Amino acid sequence: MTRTWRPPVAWGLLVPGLAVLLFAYAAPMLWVLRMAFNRFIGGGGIEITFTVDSFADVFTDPYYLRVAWTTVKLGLLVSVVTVIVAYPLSLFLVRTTSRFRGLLTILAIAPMLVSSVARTYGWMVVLGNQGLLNSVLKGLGLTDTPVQLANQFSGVVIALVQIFLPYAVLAMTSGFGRLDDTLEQAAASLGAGRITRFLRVTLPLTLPGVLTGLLLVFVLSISAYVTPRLIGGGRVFVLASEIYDQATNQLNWPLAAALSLVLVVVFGVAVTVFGLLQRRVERWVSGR
Amino acid sequence: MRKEYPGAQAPAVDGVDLRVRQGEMLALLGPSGCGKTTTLRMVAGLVEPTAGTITVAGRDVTQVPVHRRGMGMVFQSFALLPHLSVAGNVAFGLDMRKLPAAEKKRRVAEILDRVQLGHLAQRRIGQLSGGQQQRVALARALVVDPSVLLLDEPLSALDAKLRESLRTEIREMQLSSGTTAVFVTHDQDEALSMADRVAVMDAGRVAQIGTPQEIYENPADVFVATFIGRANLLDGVLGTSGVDVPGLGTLPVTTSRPPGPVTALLRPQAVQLLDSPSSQGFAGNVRSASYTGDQITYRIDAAGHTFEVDTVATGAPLDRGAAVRIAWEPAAVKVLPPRNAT
Repeated sequence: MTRTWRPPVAWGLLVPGLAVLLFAYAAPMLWVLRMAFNRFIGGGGIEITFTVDSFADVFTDPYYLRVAWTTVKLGLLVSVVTVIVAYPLSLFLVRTTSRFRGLLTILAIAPMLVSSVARTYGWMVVLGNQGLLNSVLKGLGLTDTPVQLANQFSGVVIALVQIFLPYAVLAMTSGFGRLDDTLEQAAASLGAGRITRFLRVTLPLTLPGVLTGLLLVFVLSISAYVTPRLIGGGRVFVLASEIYDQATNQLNWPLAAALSLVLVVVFGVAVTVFGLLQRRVERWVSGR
Repeated sequence: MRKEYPGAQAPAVDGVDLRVRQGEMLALLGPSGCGKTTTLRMVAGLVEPTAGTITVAGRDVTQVPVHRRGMGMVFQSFALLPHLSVAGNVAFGLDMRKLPAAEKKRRVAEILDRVQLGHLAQRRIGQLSGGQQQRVALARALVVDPSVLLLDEPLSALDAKLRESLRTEIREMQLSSGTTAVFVTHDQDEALSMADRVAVMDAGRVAQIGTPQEIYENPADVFVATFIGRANLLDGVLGTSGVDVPGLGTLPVTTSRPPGPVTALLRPQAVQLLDSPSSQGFAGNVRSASYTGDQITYRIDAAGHTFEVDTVATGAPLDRGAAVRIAWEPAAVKVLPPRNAT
């Protein structure tokens, strides 16, 4: 077997990208990995050694296990709710023949233009005890005592769903691209009503896009820091905020590093599971 | 059936009135944009007619949604569901009719055998060739015993060789099941060879409807004459003794048309090439020849006109510029309304 000879210059083109990855990604990750095995000796002191103390802390302290579980639960809940909300919108954007389709798509993803910090503060205004939502509910006489949403898990979920909605719409509209109208028409001609058509044709064929949306929002949610921190109001603890707290407030870098690695593992598991699922589903709906 | 459909500027289908007989195959033939597909989709229920009604066996189905019309449709792209197997696709319509499993299995197996795909029942759609996909689409539409079988350009996605064999196959399936069928095509050969009757459509209207033979031999106008087959057209004036064509004199014809400007039609096969030493017909010169094995088509300049002439190939084609004489039977000349005067 002969191989095409590639001039060295082709490999040379990879150097800038590889260099950036190496210095901005691989090196810090290795540094974090190494740091996780050092010992914290209080007051910001770190002993360079090789111990699994930090990991022992993470896996034995019920507090950290709860934080990890809260993070995963938040990721699952936010990704599922976001995809359910984004699905009809994405389907509409893909299907519409309106000449405003481009404009509508831009409108749907326009919230991305506002930083998630600003949007989080917006949600604090809306969800707070004296906030817009509670004022309206009170004004309508629906409730006397304010509905607790701020400083709550539920408030974090609501805010994150809105913040990640555009990402889900983007992922899903591109995933729905090959949806072919004639398939639904064929199903209709064979006697399938609206609901059957959706369940037996549209939904299966849009599953790859749904999975992409789920994975994207899950990954974004479990790494979200600002929104859980601000809307959680010191009552909702997730891995990202815990890492920040350990690193900057407690100066316990080994523990922060260990928690970071836990988050990386959660990422890895999610990406692998979704990747396998995605491959199967892609094969299934492509008819091969 | 009667349908009207005003589109954006001009109506896509403008007063089409068709009656399809029980068990017949009707072809809607026309150039792209003539409204044939829109007509078919209105029958299927995929497009809502702006005016008019669609009646099947005496029942008005105009307001009946697609999925309750009980028609079978074969799409140009086949529209097979990629996430289902061959058998899954064929069984889809039976699932919708909530047939018992055993009955369903039997009918799927039976129809797949009829389209010679029994051995591929468990295959995935992506593993099939174009011709096989076409047959699955046909089987899927026929297995539900549709009141009407609708075919939208069923063969245009396939290559030429396959098209011809599938033409026969579709026609035989339709005949043996006795299903009434309407199919849309832009291919005149397909329409002539498959259909009992052909409706030639132009600009949203039916230009002519009739058996393939009627349409070919007695086209209603110049559009139909040129769309179905090749034609020599001679503009002239119809008088009492025949059509007066500049350069050719008066051609004797039989027609019931009133006197006035007309266009005379002469099919290339109706023109004969005479041996040169003859005084009959018109003198001309070979302008070009195209040899296709069994036949040679000449273009011949004679009397200020260019004639297309089909001859049976017997040896090498005549040289360019060769002197020939051409003639035809008076009965071969058909008199049509003058072109550009619709």
